[in-house]
Amino acid sequence: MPTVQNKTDLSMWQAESLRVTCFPSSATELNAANWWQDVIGEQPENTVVRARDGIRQDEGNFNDRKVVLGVQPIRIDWLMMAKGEEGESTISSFQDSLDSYLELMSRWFKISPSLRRLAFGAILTSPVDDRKSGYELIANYLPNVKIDPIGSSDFLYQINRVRISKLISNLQINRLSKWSVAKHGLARVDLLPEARVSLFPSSETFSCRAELDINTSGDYSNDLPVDKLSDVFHELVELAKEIALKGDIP
Amino acid sequence: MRSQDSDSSTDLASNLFRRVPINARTVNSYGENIESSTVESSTSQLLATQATSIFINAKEEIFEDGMESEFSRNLSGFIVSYGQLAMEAVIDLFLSNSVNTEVASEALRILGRLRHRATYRERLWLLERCLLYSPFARVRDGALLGLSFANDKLAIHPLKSAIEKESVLELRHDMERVLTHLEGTNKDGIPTKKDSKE
Repeated sequence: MPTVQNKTDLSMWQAESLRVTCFPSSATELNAANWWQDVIGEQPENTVVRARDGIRQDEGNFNDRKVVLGVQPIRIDWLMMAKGEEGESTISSFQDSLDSYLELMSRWFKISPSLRRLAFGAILTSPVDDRKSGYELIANYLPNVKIDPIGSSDFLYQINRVRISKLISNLQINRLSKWSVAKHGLARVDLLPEARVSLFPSSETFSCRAELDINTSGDYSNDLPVDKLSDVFHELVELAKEIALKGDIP
Repeated sequence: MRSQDSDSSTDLASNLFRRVPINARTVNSYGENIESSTVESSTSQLLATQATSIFINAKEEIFEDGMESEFSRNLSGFIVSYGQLAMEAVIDLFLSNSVNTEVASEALRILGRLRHRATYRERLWLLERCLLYSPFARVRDGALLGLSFANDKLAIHPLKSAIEKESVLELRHDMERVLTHLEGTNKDGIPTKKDSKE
């Protein structure tokens, strides 16, 4: 059973999903047909193409994790998530997932088109016994917020703490974080004889959630230097790790 | 992670179980318009509907060069209100080729003139995209005018590509004039009138 922990290291966080979003500089049509092969090293398991809309989605596995490459004219998303087998909802620990994801992205940034904006997103969860334990745990990460663990529910706190990049002068980095304690349960969906949803109270689980969206500002008027894309990405990752470790700090 | 209940013994039954969030909310989480977020938003569908409505209503309007119109007020207000999410809705509309040619051309002029820093790169992107790939000369003309208003050296490269493939002679000459202007106006690489105001 989960127990309340004090924040000490990254090991308490499981990764539900990891995401890199790239916003291309150029309006030129993207030639994404070979990106998956070039980055993953094999053909995707599934590909969906909507040629008229310029949309493509490749899916497959990398290091036994599910990966999705979504390409739209204005954005490119690399997602890593749990395979969903046997009801699993997280990939693995944040640190383990990250190691695998960094390997993937190091290959991507060698072939990425020129970008005007870059984001690293992570949805992290940490299982707890109940709502009260969740609020007590999450309070450790939110020093400026007073939470009532007994008399409140549906807590949600979102904030953006901007920093300036250490790599590129005048580049603002949004450090957007959203904190909550989620309650999940199994629901049975009966379709016949009539549609009905039944919840199983005994299946209820609680977890602390931190949804991180670390991104270069949309206000930045130049393109990100191609030779620094990987370094900027690592800067975003380090900022995400800092939040996962220290919580909401300026 | 919790596994499925023991009574879910068949594949069919197991498919009927879902892990669902439980909270006190009685409305869907629409309206999460977070300016700095890069997450694809649940508001997208609502904004797409609103953008479509703005463009459909504009079909009945007659546009006069340089004059404010109901459409220009609606489109500008929509973008200023919803920022990048609004621009994503407008871009989707253009990419689906479902915008009336005359309205599209007018929209691109408006987007070029608009002073709204938060959506600047998205607007520039759409202007370049339409200049490069629209099959309609009227739309390419609107994109060119929009780019000339934006007056940004970032447009030089796509403009050169557009000139190479432009089949309408008069439009190509117009493109060359804008290119000459962009290349000549600012030798230090910083656009003189670049859209940077809120």
